[in-house]
Amino acid sequence: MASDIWRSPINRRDFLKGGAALGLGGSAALIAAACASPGVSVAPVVTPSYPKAQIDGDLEFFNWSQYLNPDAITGFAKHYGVKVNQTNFDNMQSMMAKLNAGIPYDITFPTMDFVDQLVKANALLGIDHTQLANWSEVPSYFNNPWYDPHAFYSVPYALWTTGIAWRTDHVPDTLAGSWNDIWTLAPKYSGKLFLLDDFQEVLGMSLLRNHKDINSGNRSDLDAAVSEILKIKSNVGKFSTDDITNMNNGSAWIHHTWSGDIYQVIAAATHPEIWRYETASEGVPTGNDTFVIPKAAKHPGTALKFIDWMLDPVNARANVNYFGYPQVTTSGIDEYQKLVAKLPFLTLSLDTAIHGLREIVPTGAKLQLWDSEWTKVKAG
Amino acid sequence: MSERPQVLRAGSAVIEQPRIAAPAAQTSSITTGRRRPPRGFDRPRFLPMVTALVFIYLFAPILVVTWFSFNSKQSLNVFGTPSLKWYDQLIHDPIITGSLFASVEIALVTMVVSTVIGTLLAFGLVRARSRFSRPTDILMLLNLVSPEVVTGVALLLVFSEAGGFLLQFGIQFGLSLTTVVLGHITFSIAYVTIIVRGRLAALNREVEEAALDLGATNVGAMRLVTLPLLWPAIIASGLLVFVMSFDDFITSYFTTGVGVEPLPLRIYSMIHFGVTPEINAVGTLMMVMTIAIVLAALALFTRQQNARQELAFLAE
Amino acid sequence: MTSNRLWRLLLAPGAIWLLLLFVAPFGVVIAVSLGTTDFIGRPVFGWYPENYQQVFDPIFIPVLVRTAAFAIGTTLLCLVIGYPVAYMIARYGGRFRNLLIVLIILPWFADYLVRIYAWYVILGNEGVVNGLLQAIGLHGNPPITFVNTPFAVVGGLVYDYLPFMILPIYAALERMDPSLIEAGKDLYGTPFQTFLNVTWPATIQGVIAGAVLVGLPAVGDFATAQILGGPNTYMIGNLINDQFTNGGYPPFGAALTIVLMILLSLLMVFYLRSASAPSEATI
Repeated sequence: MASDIWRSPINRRDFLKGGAALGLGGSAALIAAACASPGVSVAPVVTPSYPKAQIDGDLEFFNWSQYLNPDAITGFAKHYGVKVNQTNFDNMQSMMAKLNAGIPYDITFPTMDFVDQLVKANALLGIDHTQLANWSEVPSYFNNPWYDPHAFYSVPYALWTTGIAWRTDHVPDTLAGSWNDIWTLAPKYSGKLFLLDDFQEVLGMSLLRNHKDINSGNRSDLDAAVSEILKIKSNVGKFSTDDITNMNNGSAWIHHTWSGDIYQVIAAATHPEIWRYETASEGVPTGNDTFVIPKAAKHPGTALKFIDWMLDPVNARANVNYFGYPQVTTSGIDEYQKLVAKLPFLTLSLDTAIHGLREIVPTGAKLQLWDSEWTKVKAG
Repeated sequence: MSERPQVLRAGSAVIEQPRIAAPAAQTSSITTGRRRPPRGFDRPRFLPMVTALVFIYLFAPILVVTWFSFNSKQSLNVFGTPSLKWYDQLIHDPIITGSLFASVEIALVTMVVSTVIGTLLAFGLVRARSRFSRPTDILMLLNLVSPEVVTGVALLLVFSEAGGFLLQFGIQFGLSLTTVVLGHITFSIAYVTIIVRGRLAALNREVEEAALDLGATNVGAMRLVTLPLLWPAIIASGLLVFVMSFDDFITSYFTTGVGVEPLPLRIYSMIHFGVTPEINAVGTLMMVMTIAIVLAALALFTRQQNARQELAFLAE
Repeated sequence: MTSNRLWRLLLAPGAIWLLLLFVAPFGVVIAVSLGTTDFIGRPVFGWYPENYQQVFDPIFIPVLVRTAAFAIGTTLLCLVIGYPVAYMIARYGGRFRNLLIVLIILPWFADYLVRIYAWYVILGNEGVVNGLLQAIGLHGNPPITFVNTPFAVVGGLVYDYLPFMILPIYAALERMDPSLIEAGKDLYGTPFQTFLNVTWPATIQGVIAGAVLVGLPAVGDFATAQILGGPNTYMIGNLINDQFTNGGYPPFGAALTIVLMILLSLLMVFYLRSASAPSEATI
């Protein structure tokens, strides 16, 4: 049966005919496409369209994994009688890839610099704060944050820092509180050191270690940063943002990670005292992320209701206890202090997050540069 | 077929005695002249061993997965007590049951549509004399041998661009279960065509021509004579396409949208975001379902086939 | 209507479908590959042929070499393992033949991902093998890392595609007239020579079909490398996939796809021409 294919004497001419069909079809499509789409340009800032806060269908929920209390989701679903369909992304870039493909998620959680971009690209629906009963819970700074003037499009979600976590039972070394620790530890614990699968975090960290700007657009800075990473790449166990699982199941002894994730590991560990977390002297990426409603959302009203639900003090407190980050509401930040009291390395104030070191996602030509440098890290 | 030659073992030498009636002088000079140590594939001992090992290699992982799906503990290397708790969790998980139904739906639609289009294409390729035959043949073969990642990316791009394009006219079109089905049908057509074409080309046209002589139309002859003869191939290719679509990962990965996703994608998320023993149960369930569907279809079909044996006998 | 007209009409649905959903998408891929992205990364059409230059950047040579090595390695392993099995079943299977072939195909009914995951269960840090080793006391903490290695990836690939090598070879062997082998034994004496000069050439079509059915998907695979592998098993499938789903540059990914397609098509032409010469050993 399969051998029959090969018996028919397809010669070069016929093959070229078929290939020509492909090529012709291709060029035709090309021409059609070129005529049809004038290309996407940056739209002038327009008045956002504000959906009303009312239940208008099931919620398409697009978030990091293990980044929002599952009880809050089931609670919401039960209270309002809707379904919540959850999809997860690995990092901001894959979130953007899905949004760019036009998939109609109702609510998602970009970091502040990505919100900045999405606002400029006119890719979000407006959020009318008068429709949110619990908006008073949000600290006043966020009425006009740097990334979303007048907060037309976003509601803050949580604060975070990036650092290094390790377990002292297998890694008894004393770390130096520097990004260089990764380079010291990697050869020693080959295969047990995991980095985040996030180009801003990894390239940024290498840039910081070289005392360069974390958002540098300078090609030689980036090349140097990449070559440094490639030096230890054979010792890196994996690039993964699934850090909680990796630490929990023992495959990672050292993990490039975020502050709340190490909290979750400790909360689930049989021997929590072995875990440590440090931030680096060269620079600590920090900031907040947000709730936003993408333009393609089919059920923005439900999304608004969900945001309001999460801003509620009771839900915010429960959420903080689940995911270990300070949710940006008065109750959330208050609840977080209790966690800090138990684990001092989690200290993170609102002020630090707002004015601290910002990762700014590159755009345009700089984005292409960063993309190609990141591809070199993955493929090199 | 002649009997297998007897193999005598004399130390490290093997002397073969072929039983074919051949000029004795010639054979003896060849066989006695060589006293090589046992080599090659015709040694019964080597072959069954390799085969047995391969079967173990093929089945071990599946059996392990099935075994641990009944594990009461969460661990992957310690077996507690037999328990159905993962299956219970599975059945009550609306996301998984939703995905399961979606996958079955997609596979059914794919099977029907691609079988129809593929069979028609097979007829066209075998019977038609047209300058479009060869290029279409090549296109189909190219489709068959393209890696799924290549066709998947192509479909992703065409659907997203089409979506953006149509949005200008207010038409909502995006990645969804529909695009998944479209993608599946696209890669399935070639398989149906190849299988049906093989059978069609081997058929004896005399019976069909007899029908035409007796006054049947072309379509009628096709319907009454050729199609019944082709049923085995059509059914077989349909089943193959069903299984391929049900199990498909890469094409679904690139063409899926929001909401319900096909079951393999669900499994992928489960593996990606934390390995849980529930996956064992899902995997076992998928395997059992696939086997059951194929067996059921085959059983149904052989009953039909038995009734058609006379006709098949005539045609060949 | 005339006979030929009817048959030509039947060509239409298939041809149109393939044109719309196989040819046209490649047109879009070509268009995207020559374009660029807007400031948040959505593809924009234009004329930027330098994307193709990036495809040939020497930094990707390791990825290409690795992919070729994995694909060829998988194909060869499948051949070495699969041929004896096919031979065994075809020649000595007897009335169990069909049952054995069904058993070979059976694991394939488990979903592709489940098959990969099954290997993860066996080889993973908390998996069966490590568990056994710990129980015997051969290796305590830390567990041996079998996964995230090239061997795990190739092992997984071989496992995935082995039936596709066995089936075509089995079909070719079955079709062969067994008296040819007997005749060969007379002519050549040793089993090995018989195999080399009679059996192998007769089944070469099946071998090639198997090699194509195994090698091509192996080249494009990314899930096996992702789940069973680590950063050092990055294949071209991963490279392409990442450009579209994980922080890459879609035009580059599109250019890669086109180049890969052209390469594979050329390979296919090569195979077709080498296989179109009829072999005398078949019926």
